[in-house]
Amino acid sequence: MTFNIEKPKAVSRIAVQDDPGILADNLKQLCEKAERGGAMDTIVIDADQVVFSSSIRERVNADDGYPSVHWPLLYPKDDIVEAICAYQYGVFFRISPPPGMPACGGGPIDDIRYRNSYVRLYNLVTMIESACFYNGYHLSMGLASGNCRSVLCSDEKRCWPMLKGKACIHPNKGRPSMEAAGIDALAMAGHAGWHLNENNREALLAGLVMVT
Amino acid sequence: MMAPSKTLCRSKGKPDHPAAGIEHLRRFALTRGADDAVIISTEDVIVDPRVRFKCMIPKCYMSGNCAHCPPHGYSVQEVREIVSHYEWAIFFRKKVDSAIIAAKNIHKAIDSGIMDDKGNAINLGGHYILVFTIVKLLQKKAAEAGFGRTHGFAAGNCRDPFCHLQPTCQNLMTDKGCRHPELSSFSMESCGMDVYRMAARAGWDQFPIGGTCEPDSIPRGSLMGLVLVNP
Repeated sequence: MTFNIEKPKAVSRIAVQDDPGILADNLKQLCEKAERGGAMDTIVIDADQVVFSSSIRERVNADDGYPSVHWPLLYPKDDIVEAICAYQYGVFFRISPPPGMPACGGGPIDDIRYRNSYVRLYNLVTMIESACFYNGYHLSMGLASGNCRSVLCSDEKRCWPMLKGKACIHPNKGRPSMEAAGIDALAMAGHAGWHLNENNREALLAGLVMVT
Repeated sequence: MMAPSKTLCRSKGKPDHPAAGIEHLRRFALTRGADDAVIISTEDVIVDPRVRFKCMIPKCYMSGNCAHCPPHGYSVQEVREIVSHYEWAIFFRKKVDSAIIAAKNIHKAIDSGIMDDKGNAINLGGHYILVFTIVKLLQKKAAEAGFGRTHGFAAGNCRDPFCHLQPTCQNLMTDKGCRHPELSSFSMESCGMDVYRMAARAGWDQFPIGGTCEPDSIPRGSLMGLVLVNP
């Protein structure tokens, strides 16, 4: 599995405060970039439109049979909800899954077509996050779907950074999922007016990049 | 945009100017290798919960492997509490040439422990050691000048510059404590301080430097340090 890590075309200086006009332009460009990268739906959201669900977080925490540093997401001293709420805007998007692809949860993904779909999503999330970062939004944070270990490290015996002294072997691609952060992506997709399949049984391959 | 100045912000209930001794500390930082130094009100120390997450998402190679790096160390609430006990801070930076801080594959050299032929990793480590040293010298100078308790924060992790040849962080893995308590300290960013924004407000040009940056991507980099002090 190979990833294209591109050198940034331009790096913006960190501003004293975000210029609303420049920010609006940048958000629009990020949406366009996501669409060019394969997103089927893209929307800019306010941080207060992020829907949190304690039951989703609990479900992920209980689904710990294939653990990774990002699944479940356990930071005893830090509150990811507080962090996400500190942002103003995010770019929310989804890609189309293969027909009939079920939600895969946090376990291994045996079907290569399904796994490759997740890879496309992680590529897109990190591409948008990187664009934000080099646009001068240095605190941008990308969230994908599923368990990064299932997607990026299926050939590895373990998630290496879970061992003390070991680093992530895909630091430019591995990100937590929205569900691990306790975010209800389905509810947000519904609020965005995106057409969802019947009974919501098909995978929702959604990503969220909090910008600034 | 706030004009660069030696003393940045005033706030209600505080004197218009910090004590003269604090200005001596600022100048002292310059004599010890800082390229710029300002006195700021602690109300201008930006503590943001998102910053600590940037150490963990994506996970920095040192996150979890050094007692001074997230998820260890102070929580943002603890940092806010610490900062609230001080009135002023000396905020300084050390510039780093882009050919060093954004050298190609420098992170691989640091992570692997196999130094690059150009010596960029060693050179960058020297810049970090200087920032840690200035922080400690400022704290020592403040104590000699009769200031009360101070609190210092440097840049980056302390394990790479001070314990690079050691297999683990002794403070984290054993009950023996830190190997270099006289030099090591928390970094500003590990404590949730938004160093980049604070630098911008100080009038210092600051650019986001990521793993895909190369020397021609940015004019320069900077490493910052902060010492909290009361008159």
